[in-house]
Amino acid sequence: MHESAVCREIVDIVSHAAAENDIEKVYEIVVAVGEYSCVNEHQLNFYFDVMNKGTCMEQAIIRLEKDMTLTGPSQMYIRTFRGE
Amino acid sequence: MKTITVNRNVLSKNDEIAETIRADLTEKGIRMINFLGTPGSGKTTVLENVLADPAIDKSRIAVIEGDLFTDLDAQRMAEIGVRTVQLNTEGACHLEADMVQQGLAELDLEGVDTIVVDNIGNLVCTAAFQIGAHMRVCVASTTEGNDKPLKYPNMFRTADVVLLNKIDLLPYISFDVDKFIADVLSLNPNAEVYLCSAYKGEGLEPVVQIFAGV
Repeated sequence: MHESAVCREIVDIVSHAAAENDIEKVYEIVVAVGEYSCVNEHQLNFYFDVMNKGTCMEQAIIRLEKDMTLTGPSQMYIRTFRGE
Repeated sequence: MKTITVNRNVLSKNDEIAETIRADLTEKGIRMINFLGTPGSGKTTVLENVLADPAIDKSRIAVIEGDLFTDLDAQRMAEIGVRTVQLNTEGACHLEADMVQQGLAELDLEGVDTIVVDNIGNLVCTAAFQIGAHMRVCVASTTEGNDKPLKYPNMFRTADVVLLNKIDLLPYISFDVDKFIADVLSLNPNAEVYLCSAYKGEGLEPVVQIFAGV
């Protein structure tokens, strides 16, 4: 479901958070998804590989973690990211 | 190497606008109802019949029509004398909160206490994108088959009211009403489920009561 829009938001949110925390390179982003988030991991990574160019996330991967407690309309949360 | 905790909803930008809309409308004493369902389930026909009911004061109602293209549904609302604004997504399969915010800005809300958003026909994305509504009504129909709740659980989990439309066609099709209701309630025990035929104007009293604020 709208992986390109989801990706754009991930890049936007992590870009701001990385700048706030003086992180220049992000290596991993952990996104929690509910059982019915309707996010396709393959498509998400495809768009991420396009959209992370020229950002601090160019070498990063997105790791999806199932979180069965996410049951409402919004079932995707950026939990953490790792970088230096 | 540092690990940064974010804990932020990926759709937070949309959801923040939705929350602003909901708070603003609540303060004005206006409630917004998100009408959802597949293309052709009968959302607009239900609306036409409900709004034509003598118990409804049409001057208190406004409708935001969402469609990819055309203003055909807005024309139908205008014909029954309800103030309407048409939103065309030009291909997008759901309304987002900022689009609804633009639609609200175009509506004259003087005297209005109920706004209905006739969303794009879709059971997937429309369930995920909040628009600031106070209530979700899902219009399903017998011709879609009774397996839709289990196939599209997010829609039925988040609906406050589920209307099963086109029950006049039950003698001609294979549709298990009991299974449909049981599946909806298994996903969402708090859902109110009603059966109706908008075409025949039957079974719409519960929706009339919702619109009349009873």
